[in-house]
Amino acid sequence: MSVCIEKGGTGKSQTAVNLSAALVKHCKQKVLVVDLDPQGTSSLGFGISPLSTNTHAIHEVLGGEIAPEDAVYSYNDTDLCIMPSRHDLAIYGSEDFTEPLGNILRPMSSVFDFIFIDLPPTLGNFTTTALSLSDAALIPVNASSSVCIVALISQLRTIKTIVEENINSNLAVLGILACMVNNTRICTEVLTWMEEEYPDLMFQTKIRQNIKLAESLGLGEPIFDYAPDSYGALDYKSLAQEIMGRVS
Amino acid sequence: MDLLRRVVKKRSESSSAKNDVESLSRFSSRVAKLRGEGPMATSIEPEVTLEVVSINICDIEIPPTYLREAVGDVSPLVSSIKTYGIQQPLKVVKIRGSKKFSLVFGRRRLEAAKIAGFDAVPCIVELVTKEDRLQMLALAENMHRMDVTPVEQARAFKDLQIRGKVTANEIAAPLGLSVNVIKEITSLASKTR
Repeated sequence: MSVCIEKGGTGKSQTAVNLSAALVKHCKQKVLVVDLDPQGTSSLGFGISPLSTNTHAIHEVLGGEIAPEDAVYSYNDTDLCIMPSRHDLAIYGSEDFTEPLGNILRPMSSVFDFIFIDLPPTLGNFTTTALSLSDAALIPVNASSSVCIVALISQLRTIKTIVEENINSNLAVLGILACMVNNTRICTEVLTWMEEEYPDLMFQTKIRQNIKLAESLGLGEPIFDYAPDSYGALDYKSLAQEIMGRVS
Repeated sequence: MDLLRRVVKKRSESSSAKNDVESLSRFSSRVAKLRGEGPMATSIEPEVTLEVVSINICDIEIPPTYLREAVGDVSPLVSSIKTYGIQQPLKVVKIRGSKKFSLVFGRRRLEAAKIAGFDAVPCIVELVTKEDRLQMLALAENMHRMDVTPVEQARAFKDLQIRGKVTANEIAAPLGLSVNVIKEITSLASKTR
């Protein structure tokens, strides 16, 4: 599942980290998060610094230097695993790597129930490659922004093109996730607009603006460890349950 | 890179381009309504309305599905709020396409405020707009007070089950009541009608 939108700061990494943690903790799933963003934000969310060389990273696997399993790290010995990225991954932004990535993901898909691919905030080679290999896309939208919906429209068009061009006819939009929801007027307008334009795609669960989510990502702990009683933890738990309902 | 070139080329020729433009313009006209509205630097109204905001009484409507039919005697409440003001904010939801709000709970306080001569009441604006969820919120707020009559409860439960397609189970848990109690109260609705 690709977690994608062609705009930054909307909640992609936050969702990749905390939704996967929720699926493991509350729904007993085995989940792998593949960080395909050279910025390594979701790696950071699991406490693996994209600046450090203490751990292996996905670009080494893509380059054939190490076996895929050598770059899979379990978070606190749970069924939640991360394949981290480092800035070195950036070279694949201009190189075709569909085949090596597919070769990494295919065997993993028989081990894990869910694989989430966290992506950079642009329409680029990482996004198109990941979408060409995904069964589904989850699109997090910053609901308190008045410009994010342009990125949403653009992202949906990219997905539609990939399906219509038969690059990946299996690709489906699992859902649009409203993040950073608060009680501002702009947020009400964004939510209402999205519900009217995409009534079948909106997740019923909304991720409320919650400072604990912002804090936890930088500190390298999923929200269920950092602040288990926060609204953020509650919202991602509901989302995990809603997704289990959608995929089963 | 061939993949990216192909996708970028094809998506610019996409048949949905016209729809996308129209969709975006519907959003723009929504946002345009906000111009000149809302808190300015000189306004006392907070930007994030998770906080309590003051809303004019004339802008609050009572929905036909509102839990309480009977407001009862509000005169003690009137004297209380004349002295101390309204201690607990009411909950309202924005009515789509209108500048008005619909009351979720707080009708007695609203009536008392009118009688006390207030122009505005403190409110929290609820984000959720799904009807059954709003009715659940209103129930959760009102159930633990002694003054909702069994007939009112029965009517609300029945309404939720028929119109909201909510099961007795789903009503019971958030209110901290047993399913049997919910069923018993609901059965009252058919007896009284």
